[in-house]
Amino acid sequence: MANKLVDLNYAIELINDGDWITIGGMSFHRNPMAFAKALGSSNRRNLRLLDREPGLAFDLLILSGKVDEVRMAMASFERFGIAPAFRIFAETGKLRVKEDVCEAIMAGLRAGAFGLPFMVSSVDLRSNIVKMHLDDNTWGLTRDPFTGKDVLVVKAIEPDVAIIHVHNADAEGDAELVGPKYEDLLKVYASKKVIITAERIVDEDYFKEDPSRLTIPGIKVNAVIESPRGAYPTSMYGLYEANYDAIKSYYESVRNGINYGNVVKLL
Amino acid sequence: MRNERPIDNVINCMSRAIDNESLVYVGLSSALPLLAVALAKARGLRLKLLSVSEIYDAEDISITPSSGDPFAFHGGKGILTSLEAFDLARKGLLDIMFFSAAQVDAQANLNISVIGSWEKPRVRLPGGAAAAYLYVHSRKLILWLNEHSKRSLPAKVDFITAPGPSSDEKRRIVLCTPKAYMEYDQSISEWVLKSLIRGTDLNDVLSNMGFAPHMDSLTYMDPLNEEELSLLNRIDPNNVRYK
Repeated sequence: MANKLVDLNYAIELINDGDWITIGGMSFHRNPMAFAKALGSSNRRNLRLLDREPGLAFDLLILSGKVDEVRMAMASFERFGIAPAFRIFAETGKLRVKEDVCEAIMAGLRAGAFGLPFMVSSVDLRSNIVKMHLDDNTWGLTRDPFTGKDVLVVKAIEPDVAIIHVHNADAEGDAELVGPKYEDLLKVYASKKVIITAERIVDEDYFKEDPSRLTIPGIKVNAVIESPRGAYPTSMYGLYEANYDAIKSYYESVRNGINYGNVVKLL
Repeated sequence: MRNERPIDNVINCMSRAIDNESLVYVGLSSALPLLAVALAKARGLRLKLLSVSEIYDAEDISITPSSGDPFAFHGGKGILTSLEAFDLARKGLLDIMFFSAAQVDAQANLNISVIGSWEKPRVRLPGGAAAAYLYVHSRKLILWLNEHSKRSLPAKVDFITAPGPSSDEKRRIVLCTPKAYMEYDQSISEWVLKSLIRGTDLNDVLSNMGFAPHMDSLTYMDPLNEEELSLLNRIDPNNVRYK
């Protein structure tokens, strides 16, 4: 059995400058926070982030100054407001924002995961978002051979690295996700490299006892990191709830211009 | 003395726009739709709730700053991913979806993307999430605005994140503001002002919009009763809805 257990700093070495990165979780739930903090404090640069509805880890990486470009459907801090670093960096020209649509991100990840060149999307052609993607060649128009009608297609999305925080993993990278899955399985299959951070490292017998626990197969995983409470202050289903006071402090600190080095201490 | 807050009127209005026996999806940044669904269920409506939290068919909810919080959905029967929920919508099975926007215009277009130009936005909004998709793939869209103003109700949006309907589309679009309830009528390409929150002045409603809605007969919507208000307070004890 291959042993893929490494520490956080070693796993950062798997990420190259300019990489497209996608992370697991959503909003304030199951973000790989421990990894995001390590990456934000590393010397990586010109990173690019892709996601559907990212939250805290996404915003923290933008605040770190290591991200040049994002592609996402929504960057919200929900009841607190717009994702704060995302908004400041976008409005001051320091971040290229390529707005996408949830369904189209899903379609692109499906194509990437399925090994297909593109996937049909049902995004409405009248949305002004469509033209930008057609100009950039991330979406295309083609003809449905069965009806002759125009159809929108999304080019396969194959991120360089996916980072997924999970409940349990063994040293080979076999992993169990409990509760909501979001697009995390598609991200695993679509991405060129996969890094797993886990609340708990288990023996392989954990999976042999009950094979239905396996959510992510180790054959698709490059590195595993033990990371207890690694999603905090975002929630981890079944284990701990989001700490909204900490997230609110982050939001207010970033809005007030506090820098990355001081903000990261709040989390 | 009870002090009616504008946001409670929006929740009340949205809950009354929910039809019985509906399959409903609630996305992120949607504490108010969750409260509207809870209120509609308390009024006896039978609804199936799907949500971005991915908890399937929860019995009860509590309100946290995130409407995608899986810890806030109680008594769910399992996990149904958003991937699966969106696939159901594509097949025409989703009855109701909720959206808010920075701008809703006279043709029911939504802007959730940018104020100012696309290249150099004056305000970078969060982004439309699923709007360019679900706004056209749900049977009924319930829109809400936190303010009833010329700013939020312009004649024309700065950017079309999600398009209003053409005359041959069947989807129904309704809008709740703190002052009024409107329904979009695609046969005349106009919003129809249907009712006012009781105590609201018609001129106040009309003078705070960037376009003139169609009007025929107006009704008045009663505020929440004590029982309904205490239901909202039970599931939202920290008053997240007012923040």
